[in-house]
Amino acid sequence: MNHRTKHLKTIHLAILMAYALSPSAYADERQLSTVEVKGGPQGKLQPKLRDEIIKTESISAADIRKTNAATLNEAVDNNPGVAVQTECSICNVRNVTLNNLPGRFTTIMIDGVPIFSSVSGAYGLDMIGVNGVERIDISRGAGTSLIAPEALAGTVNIVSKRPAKAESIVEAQAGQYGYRRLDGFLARPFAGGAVTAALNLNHHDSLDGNGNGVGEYTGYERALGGFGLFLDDIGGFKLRGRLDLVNEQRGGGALGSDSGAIKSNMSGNPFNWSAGRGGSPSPAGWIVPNGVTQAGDITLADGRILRPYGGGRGGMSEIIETRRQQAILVGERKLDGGARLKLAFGYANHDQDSFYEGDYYIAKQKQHYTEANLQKPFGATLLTLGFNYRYEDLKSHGRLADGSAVAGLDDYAYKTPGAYVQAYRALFDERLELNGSIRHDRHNVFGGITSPRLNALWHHSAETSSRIAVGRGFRAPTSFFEQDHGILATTRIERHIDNPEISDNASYAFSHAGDRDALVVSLNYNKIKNYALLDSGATDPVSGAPITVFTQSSEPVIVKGIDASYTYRFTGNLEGTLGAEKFNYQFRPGDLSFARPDERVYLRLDYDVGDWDIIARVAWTGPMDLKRFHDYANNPRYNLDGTPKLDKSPSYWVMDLSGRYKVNKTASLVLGVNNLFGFRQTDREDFLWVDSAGNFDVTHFWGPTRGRQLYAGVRFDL
Amino acid sequence: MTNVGCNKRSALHRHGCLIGVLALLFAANAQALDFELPLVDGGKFQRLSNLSPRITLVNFWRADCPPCIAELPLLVDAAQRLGFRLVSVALQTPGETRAHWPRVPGSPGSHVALLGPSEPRGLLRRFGNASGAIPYSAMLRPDGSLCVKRMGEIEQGWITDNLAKCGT
Repeated sequence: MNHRTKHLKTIHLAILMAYALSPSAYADERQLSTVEVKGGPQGKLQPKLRDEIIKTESISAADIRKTNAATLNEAVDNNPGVAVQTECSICNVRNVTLNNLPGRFTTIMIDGVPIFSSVSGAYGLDMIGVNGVERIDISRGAGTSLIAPEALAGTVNIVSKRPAKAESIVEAQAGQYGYRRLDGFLARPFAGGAVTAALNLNHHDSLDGNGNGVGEYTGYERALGGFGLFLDDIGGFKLRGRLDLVNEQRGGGALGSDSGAIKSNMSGNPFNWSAGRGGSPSPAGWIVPNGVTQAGDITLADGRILRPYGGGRGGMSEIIETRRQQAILVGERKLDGGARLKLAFGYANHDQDSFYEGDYYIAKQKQHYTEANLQKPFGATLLTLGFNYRYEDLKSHGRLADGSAVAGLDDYAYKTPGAYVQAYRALFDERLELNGSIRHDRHNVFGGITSPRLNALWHHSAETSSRIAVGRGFRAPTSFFEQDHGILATTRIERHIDNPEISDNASYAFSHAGDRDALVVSLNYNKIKNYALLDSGATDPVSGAPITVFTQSSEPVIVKGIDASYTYRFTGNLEGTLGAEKFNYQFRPGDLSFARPDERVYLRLDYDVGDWDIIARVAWTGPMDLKRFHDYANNPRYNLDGTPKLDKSPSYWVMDLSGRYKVNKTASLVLGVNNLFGFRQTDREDFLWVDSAGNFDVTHFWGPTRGRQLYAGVRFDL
Repeated sequence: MTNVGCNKRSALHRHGCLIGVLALLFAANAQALDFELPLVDGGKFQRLSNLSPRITLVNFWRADCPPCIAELPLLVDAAQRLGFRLVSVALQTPGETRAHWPRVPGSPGSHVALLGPSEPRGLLRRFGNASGAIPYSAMLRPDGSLCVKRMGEIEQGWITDNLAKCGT
């Protein structure tokens, strides 16, 4: 026997032993009633490729409660690769950004049903309550979601909780700035099912941090109601249904909640434009940087030109009323041979009645979603075949501040039937998992679009794994809201868009899940072609009237990033998490409308002992290249005193603390502080800005809109 | 780490040797299962291999898993009566665990109640549960090796049937 033969025999023996002693050789796996572990207490997740949506992070109900989140936006913020971006200081439009891509590329789903778009995506994310939620699954990358090809940055899926026991929860909180919150949740299981009811009432005053009378934090009055129905066996189907009702009014700009009075006050100057950093030399108006005068401008003693403001409270205010009803029904049935049939339906009706600085905009949006999905094993391969149909429309009308009526400016109706197939297979004793899929959609405007994706997961050991994903997604731009939510001072929109936005995405993630620690490192590459743009400053070449051109960038937007999160359990009661992210952006200056940082660092401590449950979260946000993002070379921005805006924003820290104390079996106390250090953007630079010609805007964002806020409350688990 | 003598051989040998080492590691993994997790009272960490040799049933549970809650009293009772050790691993926060078990039942030695890790899938996979579903239990021989595993709720008969098998 030569050396090589002897050596190979040793290997064969070792492999045989490994097989003989591997756990599967001892399997006694009777699949009784089981619950799949979707993530641990903090929801970090080793990826798993069987599902239609491949989760990269998961936020548990316990985590939502700890962070005192009332809405989706508050629940997902401050995680590596996940952020909430505010885009307007007087209406507080907020988006969930994944991998630092614009928020419109994040698809929001409820129980796997995508039911938010354009108008509802602008303000609606603040209106997704988290009472009765089991967890929130996040999937970063266009290659992670089979059923949502338009999710170029990824998906956020809110999973409803099927209650196992009766629950009656009431929680009331109050805090600074008129913060009032009342939550109620009722769950009643019965033989073969359960029903739930959830309520969230939320109030917050509008805030003015720098004393100029123009608020930076939009006030709101919000009522969210929800009903859930869970039936374990109806015709063989396990059903989960959900009905949500939303009623919200938010108002920003002029302070106060007297919205009728604000809307009708359209002349005079109730504001002090000289207050705050970079304030004007005169409370009456602001400096015109280029010195070119127009009727009504005033020349100051030093020769500078002042543009007086005379638009009243209403001219600086945005007031948005929203009513929304949505219903979701998902049914799953197990079939012979290990197959599973899934049917899903979604419906949403979203009404918005808004006042934008004198312009009135009334929109109605409808969305339907239907999906049929069959999963069936063929040998060792699990095949998923599906069909879905997405319908969404938007119809709007309104009138401009000068009284002229406008109708259908941003109307659209998209009908998108799509079919998909996915194959999943585990190889080498489940050490390698492969998931390949392809879907084809037939969009009524943009035609046929094919989107493939491939995921591979290699388990280096039980605790460590690597996942590689490549994928393509597409998105039909919907104009107006997702691009610019306050551009109605236009008479028509010219559409110069021939192609959908296309994303090519590649990512690698390394995961380690030990007994005391967990590590996830992700590398992401996203390239978006045909990036949609809205130019609201165009004029009609014939009439000279203001128009808006809806067009596409000639260059792709490329965002590359690396993020990491490491959790270590110091004791049974104390756990710490350190996270960091670094991103690189390639884009034509100005295409990405809002600035983003290159780096962020996160630190979190969870202390859970006795009757106390305390969490401390610190986020450091690095400088943002404002000059590049806002294209100062072609569109310089100025403070109200005519000085240039900062080229680069300063870095800053935000720390949130929240604690819960269990008084007895039924009562708990809640105490917390948001933004403990109290840093606000207005301490360094106002959100308000003017261009060189003195035109005014409210969208200069890089820092917190609200300072330190204390709150306290009580919770009863009855 | 032990030098296995692969570094001076040909590329083919090195490759083959690597596979062999991996296979042996995998085999070793099945022989001795271990973890280090904190006790549910938030105190010290407990290493499984530091417990005295005894048949041990490691049970993974969560409070929001109805079959887990249904089987736990049976397991606690059976451990006391039949003389094996129950190690329960709660895959949830300390607070959620305390809410379910203000006082952990069981006599000293028959029940060791632990908190699972933040990301439990690595631990579950190590104990032979690649799917991540619970309730899940693994019965270990006195030497710590895996004897039998069970996905789903356990009945009394399953315990008695396997105690004899795993004690040998």
